Amino acid sequence: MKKNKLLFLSSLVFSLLPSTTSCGSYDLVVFNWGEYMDMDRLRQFEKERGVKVNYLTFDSNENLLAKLENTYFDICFPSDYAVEELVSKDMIQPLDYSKIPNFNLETSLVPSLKSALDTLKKPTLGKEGFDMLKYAIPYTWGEVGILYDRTKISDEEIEKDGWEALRNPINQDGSKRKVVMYDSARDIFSVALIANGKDIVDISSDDINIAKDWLSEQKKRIGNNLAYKTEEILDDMPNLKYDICFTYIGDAIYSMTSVEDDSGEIDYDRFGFYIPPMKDGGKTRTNIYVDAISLAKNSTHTELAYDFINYMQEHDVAYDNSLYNGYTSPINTIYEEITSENSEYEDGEGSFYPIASTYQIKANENDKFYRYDQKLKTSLEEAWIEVKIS
Amino acid sequence: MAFSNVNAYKSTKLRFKMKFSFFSSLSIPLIFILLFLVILPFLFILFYSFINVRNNKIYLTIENFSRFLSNPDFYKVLGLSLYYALICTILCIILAYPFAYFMAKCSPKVRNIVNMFITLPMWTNLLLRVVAWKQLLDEGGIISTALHALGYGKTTLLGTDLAVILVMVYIYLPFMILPIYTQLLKIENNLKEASKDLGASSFKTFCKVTFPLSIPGVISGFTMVFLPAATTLVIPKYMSDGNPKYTFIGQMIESYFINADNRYAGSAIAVILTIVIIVTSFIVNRLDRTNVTDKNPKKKSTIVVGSEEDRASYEKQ
Repeated sequence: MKKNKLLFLSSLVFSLLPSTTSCGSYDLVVFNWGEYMDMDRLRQFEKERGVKVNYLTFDSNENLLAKLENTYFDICFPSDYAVEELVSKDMIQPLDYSKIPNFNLETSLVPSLKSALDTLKKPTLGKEGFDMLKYAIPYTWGEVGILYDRTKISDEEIEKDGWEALRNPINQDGSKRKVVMYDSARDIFSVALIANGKDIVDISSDDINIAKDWLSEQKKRIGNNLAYKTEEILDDMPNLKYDICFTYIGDAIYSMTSVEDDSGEIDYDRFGFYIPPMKDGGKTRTNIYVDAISLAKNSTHTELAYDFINYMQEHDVAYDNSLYNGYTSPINTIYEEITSENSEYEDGEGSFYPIASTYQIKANENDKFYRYDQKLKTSLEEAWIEVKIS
Repeated sequence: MAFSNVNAYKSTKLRFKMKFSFFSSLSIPLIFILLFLVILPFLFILFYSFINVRNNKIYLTIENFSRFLSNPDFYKVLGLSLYYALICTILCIILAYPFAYFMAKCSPKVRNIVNMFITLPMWTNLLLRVVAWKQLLDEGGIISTALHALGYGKTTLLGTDLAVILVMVYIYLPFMILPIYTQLLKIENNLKEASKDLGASSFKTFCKVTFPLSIPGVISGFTMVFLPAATTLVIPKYMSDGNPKYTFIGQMIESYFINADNRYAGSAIAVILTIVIIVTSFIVNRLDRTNVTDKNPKKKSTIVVGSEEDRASYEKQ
């Protein structure tokens, strides 16, 4: 879970080397997000089955989709809308749950996630529903909220202002507020739309203009203290470079468990995480996401791939993975166990408890998944460029 | 005079024909590279910039251009990119010229060593060099810590003009030094000696002989620095520290092509940028007086190595 600059640099170096996927000596090719799986568990799988896994990483869904188009793979870990895109491009196959005995379709998932996925299945607003569980098993899930430095911004202000706190230029101690936003059209526009009480699935061009104005106004108000960044936010927040940002729960947990006080101890009280309630008359409370395990359509090692998926669902493996990456587990038993007072963590038994309330996601029926929509994607991206250069 | 020129033209053409058989065939790979990696891609970009696809139908349109040309923010980004590129280029000329001048004066042995030192950074990938600078300038880096200890400014230098321009100059300086240096080496010592013989001081010799003759080097340096600097992608990305002020035209093209998946709009920006750059290069090339192609020879205001005819008429006097 610890990311450092050296890793960042070395990953840069390695990303320049040609990819070795075409190498035929591997039994299984797995695409996953960086820092997302306990590598000891992966090695254990390799050892027990006597196979070799080619474990490759990516840093965004777009990056993954681009790679998958011309690379052989068996298993990948796309997010919800990317699963939808992969289905529409006919690149992944429906799962046969009889081959995954460790996972029970009806009872394994956290109930609030299950109901969110059930809502996704229903057609809404002229859009067909999407049955994600048919193609993918959830690996982690989360929601977007505000992560803020509690020495600079009071809990009361966040509760009162909600998303508007991202546009307030002055902190409670009179210093200028430093804000960092994700440089990704999809994420930043979801927040701008939600802050204005709009939907994040059914988006009209008027809605986009309102969101654009909201973001341009933020740029004007915060001025030089506003930054648009990507993964660097993960390092910058615990280093206290910024006072506030919007982020996914898993990333928030990383910041909360990495920030140190003056004596070098981890300061669990430094950051707060808050998901503002839905605006009156609004349509969406927040953006919910699921990263899921999918099986390639033209996988030549289907049996081994199913074995791998099943292994990922084993209790201990799923438990270790969730603690390793800090993202909330979609498996009910693990979800309960980790948030209990006795869960193991880096600093020993019970050390996870101070942030357990953040780990516990309380999804409700107004939390929506982002949907795959090529046209919408283009117009959001173009609107985002216009905001950036305005 | 005109007649002798025609003769010279004919004789080179003749020679070209004779040598075509073997040596010219060596240039065939180059022609292929030019055709497939330069000309064809550019034609594609030109083609894309005039079309758009709606409902799986291709339309011929100028919408791609009009959407940008009617947007004041676009001019802002374009202007900003050219402005930073120009500052970078001017700083490069100021730094590179004296360096190249003294380098050309050194003994060949020293020259080679210095030359190696200039090209040494280029053995490392551009991205890594920029990331290294990022760490130096960022909070806790050597440079910002030193400046902070001296009582200057903020803790991180990233996201400032200083960082952006400093790294741009660092990256592109060798591309300015080398052409100027090569051009200075080419200047015949006889010319300088002649100038001094005729009573000109060292300074006047420099102004009247060395500098005018080195202009082609400066101009090719200008092209080699200004063009990549105006379209730079990596440097603002890492030096801006997320500050949207440093969104340059290169990133805009990237966003349209990769993120927005709209290659038509992206191509239109590329075409606009190409036109601007061609115009700039054209203007700059006009400054090169040694490059005059004798269409309207001026009355010998500059030192031109005389033609046969000139010399004959001079000797008659």
